[in-house]
Amino acid sequence: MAQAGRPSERLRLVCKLESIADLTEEERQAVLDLPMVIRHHPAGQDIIHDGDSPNECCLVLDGLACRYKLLPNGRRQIISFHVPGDIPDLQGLHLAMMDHAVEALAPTHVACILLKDIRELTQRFPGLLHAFWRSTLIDAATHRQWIVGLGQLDASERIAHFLCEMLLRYEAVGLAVDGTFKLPVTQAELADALGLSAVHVNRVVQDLRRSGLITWSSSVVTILKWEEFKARGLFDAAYLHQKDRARR
Amino acid sequence: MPRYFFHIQDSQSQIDKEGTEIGSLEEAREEAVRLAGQMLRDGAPEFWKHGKWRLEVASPTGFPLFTLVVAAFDAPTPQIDEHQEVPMRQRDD
Repeated sequence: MAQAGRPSERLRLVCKLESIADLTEEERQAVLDLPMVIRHHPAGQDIIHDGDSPNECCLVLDGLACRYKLLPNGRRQIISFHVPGDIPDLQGLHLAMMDHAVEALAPTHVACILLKDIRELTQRFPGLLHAFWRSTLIDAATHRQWIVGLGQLDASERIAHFLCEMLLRYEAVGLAVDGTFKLPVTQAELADALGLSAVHVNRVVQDLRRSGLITWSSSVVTILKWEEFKARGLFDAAYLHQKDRARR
Repeated sequence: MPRYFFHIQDSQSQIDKEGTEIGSLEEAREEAVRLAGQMLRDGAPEFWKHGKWRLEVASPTGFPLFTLVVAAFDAPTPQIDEHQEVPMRQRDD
């Protein structure tokens, strides 16, 4: 919710940081005062290209973004999904060149923050430096979980695990209610992310719907039976390291 | 894009009612092989309950286009008894 003179984009970042770390009133204020420039990307457009050397990073405000790697033969691996509040290219703070691209999967607004402003902010507030570091470590934990999924989970477990993760991440930034969230991802994109064929994704989703565990239509997903669905995806939320999680 | 239907028959029959949009027949052929590989990987233990796995792909109008079949055949020769006693090799000294 936007407060007077406090554009909601800044609150997105505060909300995200507060879901994983405690901020002092001064730190909160400093984040709210960060200069940001809003840009819009239509679905399918790169937000940052592979090989770019950006001088800013992008906070996702709405829509959905993904990191991906394109292979020379045209095949694509989606590496991770990024919900509002995420800064998928924060690594630019320390790594000069992008080693993957970031794309808008749906019409997406991003708030661009100059890296020099983040540097200055984190020098003034070491607590925020730790909060960003924590966020990066959770990012790495999520990647570890992704590897386990790609290597060991079957198709049904992989898709269930993915949906459990997305629900908790949307919940953390206040964008999921009663197990329902907007997920603007096509089955082909999910296939690119989970290492499955599009037909396989389709079959499994039909299966999960038929079994009454979820509903999924027009990009809106509802997880109907959390405990049962979590068990289906062998999901344990520990790796997300969220502070005040409603679900376990 | 045309919608292709992927029906599977193993220990049970799984009819694909929704189908998947795929650009061309060539791509549908590739998807079928990939699907077969992934489903066999996921269902490795279950495969042996029936020993046969079949994927029939139908056109957007429901007309059968091609079929992939994976089947296991046990060797006809008598099996080696794993518990048979093997005489111990004599020591050289």
